[in-house]
Amino acid sequence: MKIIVCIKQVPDTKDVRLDPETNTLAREGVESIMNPYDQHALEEAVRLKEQYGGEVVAVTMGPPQAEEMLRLAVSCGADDVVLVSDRSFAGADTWATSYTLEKALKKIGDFDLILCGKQAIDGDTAQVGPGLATRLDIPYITCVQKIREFTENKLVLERMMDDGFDVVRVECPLLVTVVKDINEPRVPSLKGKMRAKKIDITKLSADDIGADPACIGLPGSPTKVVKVFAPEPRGGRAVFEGNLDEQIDQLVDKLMPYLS
Amino acid sequence: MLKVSEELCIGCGICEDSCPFGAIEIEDGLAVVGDNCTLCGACVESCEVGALSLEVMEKTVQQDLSSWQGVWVYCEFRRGELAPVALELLGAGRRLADKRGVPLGAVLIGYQTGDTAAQLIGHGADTVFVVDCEPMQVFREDVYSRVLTSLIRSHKPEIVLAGATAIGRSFIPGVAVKLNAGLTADCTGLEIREEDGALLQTRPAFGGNIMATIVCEDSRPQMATVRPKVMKALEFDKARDGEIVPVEPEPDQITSCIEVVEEVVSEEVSVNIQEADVLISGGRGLESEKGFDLIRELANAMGAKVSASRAVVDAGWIPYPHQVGQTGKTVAPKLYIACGISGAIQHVAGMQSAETVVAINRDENATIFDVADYGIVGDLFEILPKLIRKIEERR
Amino acid sequence: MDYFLSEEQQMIVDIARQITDERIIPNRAELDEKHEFPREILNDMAKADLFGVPIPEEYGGFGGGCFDIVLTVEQFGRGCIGVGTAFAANFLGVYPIILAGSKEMKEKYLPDVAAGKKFGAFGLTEANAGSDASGIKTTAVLDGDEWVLNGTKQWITNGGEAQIYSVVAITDRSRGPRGASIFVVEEGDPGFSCGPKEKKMGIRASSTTELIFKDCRIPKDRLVGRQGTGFITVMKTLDLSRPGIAALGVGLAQGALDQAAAYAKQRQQFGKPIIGFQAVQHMLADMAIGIESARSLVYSSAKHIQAHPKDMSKVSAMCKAYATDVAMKVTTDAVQVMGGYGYMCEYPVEKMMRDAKILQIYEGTNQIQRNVIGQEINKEYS
Repeated sequence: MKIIVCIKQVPDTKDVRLDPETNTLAREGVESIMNPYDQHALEEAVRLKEQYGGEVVAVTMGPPQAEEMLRLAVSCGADDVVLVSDRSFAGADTWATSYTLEKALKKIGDFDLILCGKQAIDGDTAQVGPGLATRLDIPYITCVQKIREFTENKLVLERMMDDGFDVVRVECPLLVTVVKDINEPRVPSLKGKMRAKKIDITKLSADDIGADPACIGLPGSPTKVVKVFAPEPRGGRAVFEGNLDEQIDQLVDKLMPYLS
Repeated sequence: MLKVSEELCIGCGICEDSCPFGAIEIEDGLAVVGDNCTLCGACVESCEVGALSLEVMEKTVQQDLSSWQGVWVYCEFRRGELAPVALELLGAGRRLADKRGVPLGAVLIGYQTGDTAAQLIGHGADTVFVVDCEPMQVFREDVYSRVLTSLIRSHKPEIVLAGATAIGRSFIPGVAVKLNAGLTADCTGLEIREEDGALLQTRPAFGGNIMATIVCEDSRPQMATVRPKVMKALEFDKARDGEIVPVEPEPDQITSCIEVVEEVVSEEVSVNIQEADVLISGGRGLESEKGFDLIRELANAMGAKVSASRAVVDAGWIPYPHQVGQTGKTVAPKLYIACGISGAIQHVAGMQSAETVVAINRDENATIFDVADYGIVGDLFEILPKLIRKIEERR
Repeated sequence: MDYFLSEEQQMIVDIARQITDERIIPNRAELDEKHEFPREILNDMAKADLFGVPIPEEYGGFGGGCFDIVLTVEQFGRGCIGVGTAFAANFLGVYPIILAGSKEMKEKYLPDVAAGKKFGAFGLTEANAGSDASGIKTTAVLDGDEWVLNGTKQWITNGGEAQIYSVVAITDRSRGPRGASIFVVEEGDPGFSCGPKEKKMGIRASSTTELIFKDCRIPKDRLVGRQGTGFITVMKTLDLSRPGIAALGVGLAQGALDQAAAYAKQRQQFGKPIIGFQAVQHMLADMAIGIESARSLVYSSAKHIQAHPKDMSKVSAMCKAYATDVAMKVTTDAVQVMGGYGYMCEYPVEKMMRDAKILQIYEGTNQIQRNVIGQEINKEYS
């Protein structure tokens, strides 16, 4: 089974803040990491490979610095990695990103399964996976919490719903996006790290994948960001008076109407 | 391309600090843009001397935008029930449609929908397209996507809204790609821009630490998913008039590669924190799974439901369906008691619509107090047991 | 401090650190409370190839030396020396095979050890033979093609959890120290069983049991090396493994300092964080001095042992005694800095202090280490 995992390098969002005074992003000490959901997708791919045999190729669209993340992917079990990188990809929204990945995947060749994280934590859109599958004209299942089995070229999956989960059976090739519950990603192995150090990373530019310049990057993106701002704080901040017991009594007074 | 004007740039370095990707550096008193620029535009906003600009290539092919008219809402229906977000979206859609002077359409996809279409009209829809047949009983991405895409293609609404539910977030992106439409996920604000009638879509980014307003100027429809509990539904008005249009899907639309083998309703998830009036929410300050039990005790004492911050869910003290925040659920209870939650913006994003917020935290500088109506600074392990006892005494 | 690690060494540290931060630290309190063996964490270490670090390359390992193991267990020690002990004691059980085993024996066991499929333990201590190994009562008698073992080993780390046990038994009492031999006993061998898990003051994540041999029959080829060379191999094994115990001490002390310093910055008294008080600063400074000097000694000792395998007793004993004494002092002081909070089980330093004590006791008490050092000095100046 040939599995492609789409991964993204993202800023560690818990550290990203907008300073409400200056309206600028504070990025001090913000690290670039592999999107956490994508780590789970990669882990699932490696586990499927270990169980059913095959090959795992990790693909990312991003700046040259994303190489570091691709090496991490190798140390966690990816057999091969591809960096789709070109300055003209900058500013891509999910529409243009799914277009670029579609072109790149067609260049990479046949596959049985594409695994993606449910969403990337910098944008939280959850659109690139479904968009990519739609462009490739293959079925997709989102928010998968478990891959139950792979038999006769069909996958049986548990797809998370708002009120539980659906068990679905789909024939390969297909695209699956995964949630964090699906597995616990492994720590890189020593052999993997040694391989990662040496591996030759395949690089694909806009020309290499035959992308239409009108469909990539900012020009190819139907959505445009027109304003960035800090979320409005909610007013408030009232602390009770007196010692702790008195404060708790005052709080209980306030809570009484809500008891059921 | 991000352009730096050599004449205007004073090398102050504000843009360097504002770039979330570290793509700008000051060299010889001039801002220099690196390869990892994503054209997000944060620096353009920050530059006080206007030295930065995003140069956008003009689109060669312009769609005939005026042929797209009307606002649509996709209404999710599952197991005999309409998703509450559908009514909330009709409320928002009505406002947008009135502003644009266009009709509000609803698309109801499901099986045995009964009088739901009439209900949608009473909540604001002018026209309801009803796709009610057996193949719609289970959710299959490919089927739902083809049915909605085909309806949009033939009726050309300018705006399509859908709930950011598991179903909406799954198949709407596929629809958007088929239509070559821009799609903005998880919007928390929707407005019409005065100049050109474009839809201004506001959503959180970077885990809710930053808000971004997004438009789709050159393509139609403009599509957005909206989180449940963010918009307000209109009161039901049975005097409202509207048209119900039954739609029969083509056979090729309902052939699917996806076989739904089983639908499992989980006990755990059926405790829907979005429906709770009172939520007791615990954070990292509880220190351990055992500490978190205090939250359950307080919830029991008050007849409330338990929710949690992301840190607690990540630590495995409580399952994901209880998570409040940007990556969890958005809640709007009457009362929200945050215990040992520092109040990171991504958490606040999920609970700021609560009517009353109580915060209990050891750190008096915790940002949770900024959004709280009432607060107590102190040790949770001292306060919570006392609070539980006093409530039980007063019941 | 920068110790100028090679790229491979840095990789080992990074992996061990990640396992410590993501797997050990979040689980250590529970493992301690439940006296639970960290099977899953050891599986994670195996998947990350860490069990292969000191195994020769021809048997599926990385051919690393004492220093590489020191770097690994130092990280684990920072998280939990109970877990670190389980990891380190595995090699204690395997070193005799590496040092003295035949090619066939190495081929049989080492690849599985490197892959983390088989786990080792070392059976030396008995009720009347601890620091004085000559009191060993367990015997092995050759009967046809089989050795027959009888006796009981006490306080054996990884007992009941390991699959491979290197067991020291007397084959010829009349020959004194030359009468001991080492045998590999496998889990499931007839006549071999493990006692119940001992309850301990600390390192509760590690398993400690008796090994009981009642006419335990094993094939002849389970003898490690030549008959009668047991004591020499035991001494070499301990010399080789002691820097690992020292490294556990360095890691443990570092973990305690991390806790104490973070607490001192956050805890306010008399209107300022207590780290602003000189009394606290000096305590923290002494902790830092102790840790860094111990680390320097342990690293240099490990490198020395790697380069001079015939001259390891003294440096091995020095680094073990020094680093574990530092660990005891630093963890005790960490509890002191944290005051009442430090004494509570909600914070990890009380466990660190309980754990630290064993480091001064096992693999030769620190008094025995000083004997060894003293004897070596005596020899040097003769």
